[in-house]
Amino acid sequence: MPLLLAREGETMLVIRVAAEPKTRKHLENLGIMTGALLTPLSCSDGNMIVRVHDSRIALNKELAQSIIVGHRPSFA
Amino acid sequence: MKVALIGNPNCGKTTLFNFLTGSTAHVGNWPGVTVEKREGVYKGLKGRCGEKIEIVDLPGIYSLSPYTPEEVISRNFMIDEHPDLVINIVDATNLERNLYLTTQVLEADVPVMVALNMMDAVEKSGDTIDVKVLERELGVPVMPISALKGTGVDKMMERAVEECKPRKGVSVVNDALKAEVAATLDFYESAEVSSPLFHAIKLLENDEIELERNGAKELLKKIAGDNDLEAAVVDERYKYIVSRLAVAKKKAKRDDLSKSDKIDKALTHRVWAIPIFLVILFAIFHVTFSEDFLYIGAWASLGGGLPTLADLGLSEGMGTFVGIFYDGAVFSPGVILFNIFDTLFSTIMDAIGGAISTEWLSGLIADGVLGGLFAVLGFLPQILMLFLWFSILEDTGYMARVAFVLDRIFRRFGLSGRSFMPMIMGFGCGVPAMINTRTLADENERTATIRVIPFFSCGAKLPILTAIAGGICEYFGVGNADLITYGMYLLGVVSAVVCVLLMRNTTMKGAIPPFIMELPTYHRPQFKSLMLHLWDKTKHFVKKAFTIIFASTVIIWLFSHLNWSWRYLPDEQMNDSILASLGKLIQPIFTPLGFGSQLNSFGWVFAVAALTGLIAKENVVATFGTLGACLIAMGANVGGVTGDVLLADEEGILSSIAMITATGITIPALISFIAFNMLTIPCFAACATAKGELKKGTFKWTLLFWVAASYIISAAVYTIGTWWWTLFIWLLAVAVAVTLIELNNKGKIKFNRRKKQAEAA
Repeated sequence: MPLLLAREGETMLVIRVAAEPKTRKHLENLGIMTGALLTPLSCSDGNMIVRVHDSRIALNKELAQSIIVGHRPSFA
Repeated sequence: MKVALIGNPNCGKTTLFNFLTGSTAHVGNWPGVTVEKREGVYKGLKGRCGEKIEIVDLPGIYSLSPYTPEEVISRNFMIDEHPDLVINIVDATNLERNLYLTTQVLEADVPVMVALNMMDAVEKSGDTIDVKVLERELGVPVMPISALKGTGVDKMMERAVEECKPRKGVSVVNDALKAEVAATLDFYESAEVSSPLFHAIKLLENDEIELERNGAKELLKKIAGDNDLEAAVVDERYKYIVSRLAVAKKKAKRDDLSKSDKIDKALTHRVWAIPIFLVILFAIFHVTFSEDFLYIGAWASLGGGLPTLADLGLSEGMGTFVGIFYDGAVFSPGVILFNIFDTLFSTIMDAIGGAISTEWLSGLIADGVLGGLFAVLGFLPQILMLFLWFSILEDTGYMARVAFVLDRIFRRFGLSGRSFMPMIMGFGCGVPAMINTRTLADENERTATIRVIPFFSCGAKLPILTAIAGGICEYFGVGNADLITYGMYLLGVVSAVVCVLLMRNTTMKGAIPPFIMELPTYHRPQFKSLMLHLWDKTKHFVKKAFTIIFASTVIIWLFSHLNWSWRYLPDEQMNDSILASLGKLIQPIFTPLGFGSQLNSFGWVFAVAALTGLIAKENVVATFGTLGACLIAMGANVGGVTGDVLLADEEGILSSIAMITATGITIPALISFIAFNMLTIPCFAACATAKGELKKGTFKWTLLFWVAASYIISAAVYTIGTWWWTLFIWLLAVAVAVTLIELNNKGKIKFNRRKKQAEAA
């Protein structure tokens, strides 16, 4: 599902980033890429703040829609 | 010895730079404060051969593949300028992300040292980092420091001098992609470029700059085939960081939500975020400008009202003293500071003016120089205060949140929230604001932003606003000076919005880049760095006052007291001066704006003031001061305002009253005059910056844009203010323009058909 629909506070796994190459590269540099873990912190009208590693990244709605996330596989 | 500081945005490079060199470069708590490289000399020890250690501060970057224009500077410096040492500053509180850049820096053939910054914050949170593990894995010296407190910095520099020796680049992706790296490395080695390994891996990452090299594209296609090597490289880097480097950090258990996250819950709230921002903004302007602090006077007037200063019947000295703080209402801190400065200045001016007996000399010094200078200098406290509030907001980390919150709204006007940062900087000074637009990824968005930055009225324009607003209130006895001031700021912002909307729908079309911004951790504003900001601003302002403005006032005074045969004219014959005849020549241009030919014989003073503002905006009020003082000296000629009043009242405001009396200008024309000066071509310095920052060939259109925007908006203000029914004509014109643009964008009509035909032929 798109990141936009993820629940606040629940850590998700990035499955795919469907943005254009330049944007995708920038997101990669910030640590947002396939296989990374994201935690949505807040969402207002689609604009989101997510935690990646130890940083807080703000994204607008279109981007939040283009990042596809899924539930983290449990290792337990 | 040349040492370059490189690292992620907002990781403390500039703080370290300031500490090392004793400089006072601007530091803020948001990513992208530094957009230019900056050089200084280390004030501590010397290099091994006793040479100076030069420090170069570079703009922050997340990776060595640049995303925005300012990031190119950092990459080019590191690769092409061969620094003797690169200090990679790593924010220890966010280790994994920061080390991503480190893995790339290590690929270049330069000596590298890693500075683990913000170690104090790490220790405070209870986390620990094993520096030895990092040092072993990275193969370069790693030094824990706190740039803010200065701990560990000198030790780091000692080691930097000791262990700095040539180094070959190494890569963490080499093991996984051996064959691919070998092939590209061979390509670059045979081309004999420096740091071949760095370029080789950048090519595998599909780097735009590398792909431009002859033969690179073909080579990459041959090696990669259908494989996505870019993703593989990124993946290898993070894998390495997580498995080998991040293990050095032991995290203490803590709440899921940090303090910053909790504050964000309120400040970036879906509904309340924007109201909160507006209240803060209003509070800032209220504290700086209001003559009725906290509206105590207004509340009191619901009852019996507070007595005015005159009602109190104080002695003269006591009256002047109390008048600094109170007149029927308590003044805000900004106004009180302004009054203190003003009382001081008029006392000095009076003493000097009285001490010189030669008429022309006393005129030149008291009216020409001091009148002009003090009219401007009196506003310094308010300029500083406004600047201080914005610095505090910036330093806490709040501004980055506002950019995020406003992104939603900005998008409707065709901009991303990113452009909020340079715009709000515009309230301080347009020059750094325009340079800061380098953080914007889209060229057309950048051009549009640079063009409207002057509309965010800068510190130098503040005297124009307050002096004339004060003049209007005192002379016409209407309205409220602070409301006029806020209104003018608002007019600037609204004009900016309208013009951006217009440009993004016509000449500056383009997709709005996505909003991606790292939000810094909130922290208490640093007293030292705030004071440094203020000190810098003060120095800049005072220097400007005693150079450009000083020179301008002398010239203005001379030309207003000399006729074409170079003979001295007393104040009364100012209308026969060189300045007057030049002023009268351009005066008719301003007739539609209300300060042109409809004014009486002294009307040229407004045209001259507006023109001097092109050099520096402070000059507008300085010219008011110089010419106003001469008008006042004429006394009866201009109706009632005499020299005695000058001593008791505010300098800049009084000059504008003298100008109003002498010219018979109306309120709408005065407002239009403020609007024109606020929106027209900015000062020389801002123009030069704009020219440097804009794409080639767009500067002349930008000048035209400023002239047209200021002329049209001021004309609208004047005509609607004078004849209310003209509002309908303006609305009609706007409607026609909007319709034409819409039709053109939908392809129903074509404006540039002729141009296209010419191109075809």
